[in-house]
Amino acid sequence: VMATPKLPRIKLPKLVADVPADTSERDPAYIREMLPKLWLAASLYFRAEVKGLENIPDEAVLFVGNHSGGASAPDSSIFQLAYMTYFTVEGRPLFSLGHQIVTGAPLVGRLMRKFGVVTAGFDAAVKILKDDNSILVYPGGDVDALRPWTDRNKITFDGRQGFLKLAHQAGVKIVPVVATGGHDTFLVLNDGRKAAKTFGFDKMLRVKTLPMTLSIPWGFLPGGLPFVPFPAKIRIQVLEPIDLRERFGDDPDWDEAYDYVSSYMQVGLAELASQTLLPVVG
Amino acid sequence: MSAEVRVGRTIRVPEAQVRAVVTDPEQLFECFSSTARFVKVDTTPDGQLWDVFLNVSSYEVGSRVEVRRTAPNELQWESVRGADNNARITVEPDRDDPAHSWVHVVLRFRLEGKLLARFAMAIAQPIVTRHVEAGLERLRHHLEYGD
Repeated sequence: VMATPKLPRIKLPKLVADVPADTSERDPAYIREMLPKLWLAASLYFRAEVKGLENIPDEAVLFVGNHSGGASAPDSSIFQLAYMTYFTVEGRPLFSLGHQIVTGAPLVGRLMRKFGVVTAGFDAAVKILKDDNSILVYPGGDVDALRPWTDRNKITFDGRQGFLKLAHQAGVKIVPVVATGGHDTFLVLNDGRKAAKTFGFDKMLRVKTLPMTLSIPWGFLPGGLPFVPFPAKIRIQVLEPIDLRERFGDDPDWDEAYDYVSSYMQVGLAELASQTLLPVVG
Repeated sequence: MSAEVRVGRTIRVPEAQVRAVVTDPEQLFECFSSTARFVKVDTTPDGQLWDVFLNVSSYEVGSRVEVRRTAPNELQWESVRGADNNARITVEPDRDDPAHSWVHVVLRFRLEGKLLARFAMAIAQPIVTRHVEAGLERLRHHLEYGD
């Protein structure tokens, strides 16, 4: 019997850097410089409509959103643009919590961090809120951003409740933000959770879904590499705040609170979606 | 040429409670009014007359309808002028959990014409579906949480 030859061990280069949650990398001068370009993209390319900013109270809050459009997620950038033009760059800073695959990515990661994206982490997020900053989170993460197109008008938080505990511990209100149109910038054909598990993406990269997508320039591709988005109309609606302590007390039933916030946002998302005439067109 | 929209939702509330809201046009239309305009016009021997107009982009489309309770768990409407449509909304115990309810809307509408009507129908059907979905989500949330 021949012994199986032992293959040499190959060390793969690390593509994603370990980046701690550091708010000092936010660069107001850079943001101010970027705002006109972003405004052009948002207004002309995506014909963006952002409504309900008057619902945001003048205090640190946790913005909780649904986001669409895979790695491009234009709704996220458009909301940040709208926030900063409404409250000004010098106003209460808005940080967003991102997957390490975003904050630690070569080139893009640095730009994102300058824009106020910090690596998601519970303790760091509590501190950011207690320092009187606001935070934007997308609890559904990649499962939300890469949900099938047929689920584009569904709130998909995948059972993740950390955002509730974060708002409760930091003593801030949740301000829900719902968005449509991002999922018309490319096409997600299926739920890729099984594929992510099969190929080990969930353990290697903490990526929980690997669906088949159709985008420019990739054509059909498993997963969500950055792409050139279709010029879909983006609509965003800021809903009225939810005070978890007022509604659920000091010791909430997290499942109950999760169901409530999801339900409330589902109503907002369905109502926003009812304004759509045609996908992409808006 | 006609098209049909069918949308259902489970509501985690007992059927009797849901039925009381769904078969009362004033309470039901209040829940649906965030994406459409519902105005009560008159009372008829068989029911009520309502103006029902969907907010579709920059214009409103709809009709005057006669609304009738046709069974203890069912409400129906039929247009008497404007866009030609009829609808039926029913409440039943949910199949998976009889302590919960299943609310089902069937809405039919008609357009005159051939090729262009077919094209318009293809666009209109998803729009109407999304409006019904939004109304049912609002109804579900209202019944489950009282908001």
